[in-house]
Amino acid sequence: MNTLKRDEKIRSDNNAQLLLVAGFAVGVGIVVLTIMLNNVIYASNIASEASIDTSRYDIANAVQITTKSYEDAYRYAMKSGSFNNTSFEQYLRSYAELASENFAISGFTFNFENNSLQEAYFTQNGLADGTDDWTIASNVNTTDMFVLEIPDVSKLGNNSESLKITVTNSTGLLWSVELYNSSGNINITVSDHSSVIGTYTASSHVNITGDMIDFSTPESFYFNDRTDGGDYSINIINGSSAVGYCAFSGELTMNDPFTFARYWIVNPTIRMSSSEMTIVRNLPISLPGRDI
Amino acid sequence: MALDKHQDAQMHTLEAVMAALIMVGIIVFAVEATSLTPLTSSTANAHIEAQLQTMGQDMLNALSYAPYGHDSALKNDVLNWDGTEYVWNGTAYESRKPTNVTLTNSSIADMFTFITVPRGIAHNVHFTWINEEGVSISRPYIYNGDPSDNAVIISKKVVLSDYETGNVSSFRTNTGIPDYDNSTDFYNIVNVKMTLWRM
Repeated sequence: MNTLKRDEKIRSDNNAQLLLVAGFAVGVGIVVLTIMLNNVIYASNIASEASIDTSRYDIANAVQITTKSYEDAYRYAMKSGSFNNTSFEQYLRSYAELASENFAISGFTFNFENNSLQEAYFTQNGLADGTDDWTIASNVNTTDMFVLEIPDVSKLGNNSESLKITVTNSTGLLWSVELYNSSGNINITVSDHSSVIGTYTASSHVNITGDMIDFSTPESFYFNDRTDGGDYSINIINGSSAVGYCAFSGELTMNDPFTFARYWIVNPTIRMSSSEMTIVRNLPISLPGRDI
Repeated sequence: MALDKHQDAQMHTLEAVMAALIMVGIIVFAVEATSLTPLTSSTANAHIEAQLQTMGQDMLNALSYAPYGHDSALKNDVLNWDGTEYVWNGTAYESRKPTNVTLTNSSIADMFTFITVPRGIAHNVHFTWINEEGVSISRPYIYNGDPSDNAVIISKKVVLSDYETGNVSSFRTNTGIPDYDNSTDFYNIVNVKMTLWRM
């Protein structure tokens, strides 16, 4: 009888232990599953495995140094006073070779082609289809050089498609010049905020700040007179109506100099490739650009 | 009797499973705890690296802005470099050799002083170029020690022309950067490499 009771007690203890251990196991299992599920949800919602894509930054750098190289190549090609295309090409060849090696180290292939000089429109990027109305410089204090040249007047629009350069400040128009093709000559109309100051005729060259037409004929454009006081913008309106050269320089209101000159345009095609992407784009560059 | 043996076996199996779980748990905990240092890679580091990358890109972008008719601050720093290596001594960038020469007139150093130093971000700057043999050469401009595993490198290339170096031969002697093309005014391309990491 006692033996039977002892056996029953052992069986009952075993059952209790079994239930306890089973409950413990279920509890641990729930905790483990919860943590695993939480990790899966968390990991899928963070960018832990995404690499940082720096390709845009590298492309911007390529554009920057290529633009600078073209400007320096032009400067080198003009060393003798006239443009030497062989020197220009030679400089760019050296740049292209070394730039390719440098970008290769960063994981990119890099090359560009088409170095031929093209005639420049007065648009923002210098191409025929560029932005017509744009601002050359803002917050200008004084302008020392303001020169325009249209070597082929047939590439200047007529009265209804005239090229206009305006000088404006916060109060409105201070001074403007309008140029159009009038029977093979350049008709020039200079105005201030209220009226026409004068009309002139030139064959190709207009030096606004030097008050000179075609290198030898003195004229008065009243530019400094009407823009005295500074803090103005120089804007081009309807830039696609003319092909030619322009040069501007002076000082900004913060006493920094500004320079912009465009005699030619190059429009090379840049190609950059990495394992993840390829980009091909044209890069219109004004020459001589910002270093004259 | 047979029923008792079955129950004993089940219980022993469960006990073994639980013991195994506890042992595995302890091992995992011990391994995780010992390998967790302040510089251990984790998912959080991806964010920190992205932040440092963006910060470095912004710094180099700002430095590489070239106003009308002027070279960029970044290029000026390369052109003004005389080959000396500098280290942050707590108050200024001082040369290692010759000693006690303070780095002045450096936009890169000014930028670090304003941005990375107050935030406790360690930084190195190397100038890298390709020599005549096509080998990439790197020399330190600012060196503050070996970076951690989570460091990021941001670089910006700068083109140099002969006329910008002033005197080509002395620039080469001082910096070791060679004139890649003697026959033209093209000088070389210098890659300014900035390494940033959290302390």
